[in-house]
Amino acid sequence: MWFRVEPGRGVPIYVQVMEQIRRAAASGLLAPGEQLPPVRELALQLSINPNTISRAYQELEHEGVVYTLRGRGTFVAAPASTLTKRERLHRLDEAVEKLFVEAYQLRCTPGEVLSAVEKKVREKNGPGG
Amino acid sequence: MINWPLLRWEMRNIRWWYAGLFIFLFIGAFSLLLFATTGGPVNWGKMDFFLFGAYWALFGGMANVSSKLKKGTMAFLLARPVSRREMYHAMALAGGLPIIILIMSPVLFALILSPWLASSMSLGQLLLLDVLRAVWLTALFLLAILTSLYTGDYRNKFYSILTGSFIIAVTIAWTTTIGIINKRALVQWLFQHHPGLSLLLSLALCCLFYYLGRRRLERMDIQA
Amino acid sequence: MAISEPAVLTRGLTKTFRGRPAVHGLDLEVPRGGVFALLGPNGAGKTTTIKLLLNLLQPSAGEMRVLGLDAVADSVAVRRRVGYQAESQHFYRNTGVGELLSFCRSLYPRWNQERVDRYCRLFELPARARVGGLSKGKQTLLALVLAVGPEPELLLLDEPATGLDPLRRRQVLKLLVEEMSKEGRTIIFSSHQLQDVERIADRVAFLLRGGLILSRPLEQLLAEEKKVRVLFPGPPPAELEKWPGVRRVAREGSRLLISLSGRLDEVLVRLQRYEGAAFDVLDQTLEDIFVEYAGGEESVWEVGEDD
Repeated sequence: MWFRVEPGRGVPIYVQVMEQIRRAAASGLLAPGEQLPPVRELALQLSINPNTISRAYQELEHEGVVYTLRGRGTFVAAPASTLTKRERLHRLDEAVEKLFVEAYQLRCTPGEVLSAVEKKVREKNGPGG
Repeated sequence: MINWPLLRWEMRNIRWWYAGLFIFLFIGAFSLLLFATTGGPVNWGKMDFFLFGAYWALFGGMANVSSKLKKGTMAFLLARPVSRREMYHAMALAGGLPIIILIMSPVLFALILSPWLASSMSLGQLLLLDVLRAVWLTALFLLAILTSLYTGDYRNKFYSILTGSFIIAVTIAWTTTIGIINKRALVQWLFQHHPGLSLLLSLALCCLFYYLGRRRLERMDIQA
Repeated sequence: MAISEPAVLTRGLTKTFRGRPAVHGLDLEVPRGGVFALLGPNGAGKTTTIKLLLNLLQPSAGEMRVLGLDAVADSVAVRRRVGYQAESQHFYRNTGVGELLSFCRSLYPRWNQERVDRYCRLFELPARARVGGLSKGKQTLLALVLAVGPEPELLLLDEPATGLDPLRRRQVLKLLVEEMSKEGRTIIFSSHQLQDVERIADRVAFLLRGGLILSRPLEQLLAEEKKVRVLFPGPPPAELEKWPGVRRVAREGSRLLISLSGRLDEVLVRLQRYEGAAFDVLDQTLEDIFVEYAGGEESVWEVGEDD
C-alpha cells in the first residue's frame, strides 16, 4: 500500500500517514476488517522509520480507526464503532472550530455559514434524509 | 601481534615491488653463473646486485607507508578491527622480509654453487657478512618507516621530499661505509675488526627505530 | 550491565588541531537502538567526532565509551562491533570489488555474505569490477556495503547519501530501514539531506562549533520548535524574551515573530490575555530549525527587519 510521504512539510510523517489511512477508511477505500500492511513492510516500502508507522498505527488505534490483534496484525475498524458519544462530539467540535476560523477569514456572515452546512448535510444524506 | 589476513593483504598490495626484487635476484644469480663459467674467485663483498635490490625494497616500503597515509587507505584499514600494532607489524614484515631474504640469498647461492665456485670468503665469513648487512638494512628500513610516519601525511609534501632526499643521502653514505666502496670508513672498520660490536650496534638501532616507529603509529592521528 | 549502557557516551570530549578546537567539550549520549542523526553546518565537528569514536583520531581531552567499552583502550574490540562508512572513502584503486569484500570479511568475527551479495546486486557492484574504476557514488555505496557486512551493533555513517541520485538515495534509505529493523541496532549518521533525516531519524542532535546544542527525539523537536507571529494592539510586553520557551524574538514590521522551543500552550495562554492580540502558530520543518540553530547568534530585535 502506497502513501504519500512529504518530509519538509512541517507536518510529522506519522501524522501524514494517519491522515491518509483515516481518509481511505472514511471514504470506504479501506473496508472494515481489512488488514493493513505489517509495520516493517510498510516502513521499507515508504523508506521511513518503522517506529513512525508504529506510532501512526497506535494513534489510529487510539482513535478507533483501526484495531490490533496481537500476533496477527492491524485491521481497519468499523466506522466510529469504538468512539464514545462524548469523544465524537468533541472531535466534531474541533472540526467546527476550524470551519469558523476559515469562515472568519473569508468574512462570511453566520447565515452564510449555516446555510452552507445545511446544504452539505442535505447533499450527503440525500432527499428525505 | 600479527594479523595474518592483513599481512597477506599488505603483501598482495605491494606485489609489483616484489616483482622488482626478483629481477635483482635474477641478475645477481645470473652474474654468479657468469663467474662460475669464467672460473675466477667470487668476491662476495662486491655482490652489489643483491644490495641494490635491497635498496629497491627499502624505497618500496617507504613509499608504501606514505602512500597509505596520503591516499587514506591507512584510515580504511584502521577503521576496521585492526590494531595499530598489527598495522605496523604488517607494514614492516611485508616490506622488510624480502629485504632480508634478498640480502641472505648470497649465502644460499654460495651453498648451492660451492662445488663449482671458487670463493674469496669462507661460508662462515659470508654468513656473518650477510647477517650484518641484513640487520643494518633492517635498521635503515625501520628508520624509513619511522620518517614516513612523520612526513607521509598529505599536508607535508615539502617534508616528504626533504625526507626522501635525506634517506637517499643516508643510504649512499651507508653503501660507502658498509664495505663496498670506501675501505677506510668507520662502519667498514667496525665491521671487519669488531663484527660482534657492529652487530650489537645495528641490533640496537633496529630496536630503537622499531620502538619509535610503533609508538608513533600508535599515537598519531589518521587524517584523510 | 554493559547492555544497558548507551551506544555512545562522551564526556567533555575535545580535539584540537594545532591549538584550534574541532570538537570542544562535547557531551553526547546516544541511546541503544534507533537512528541518531548528527546535524550541523560544515566544520561543526561531525566528522571529527565520528573519527574520534573509531580512535582514528586521538582525543585531546575527555572520555568516550562506545557500546559500553572504552573507545581508546578497547578500540579494536569496539571496531569489531562497529561498521563505518567514511565521508569520502579512499580505497585501494587497483583492487577488485570481490577481493576487497573477501579481505574485509576475513577481518571480522561475523559476516553476512548473503546480505552483502544482495546489496551488491542492488547497487550494481560486480565482484570483478576494479574499485578505482567505480564512480564516486558507487564507491560510497561500496563503503556502505562494507560497513553493514559484519552485522555491526553500531553503524557510523558519515554522509551516506552524498552524491547519489534520487533512486540510489532511496535505496540507501531502504537499506537503513532494513538495518534498523534488526534487534538492538543503533545507527548514527551525519547528513545534510534533512528530508532523509526526517524520514528515518528517531533522534537528532545539532552540533555547532564543536559542541552539542541540542539532542532530542525528532518528533518532539518538530512538535516543540514553533514560530508564533503576533500583532499586539499596543506596545509588546517588555519581558517577552524572558517568557518560558521563547528563544528569540524578531521584528517583522509591526508584527513580532517569536521562536519557541516548547511551552507552546503556556505562551498561547499568556498571549490570549492581551486583548486584541492577533496571532498565528507556524509549523517548522527540520530544515527551518536547522537554519535557525546554525544561523546562530544574530542578536535579538535586529533580524527580520522588513520595513
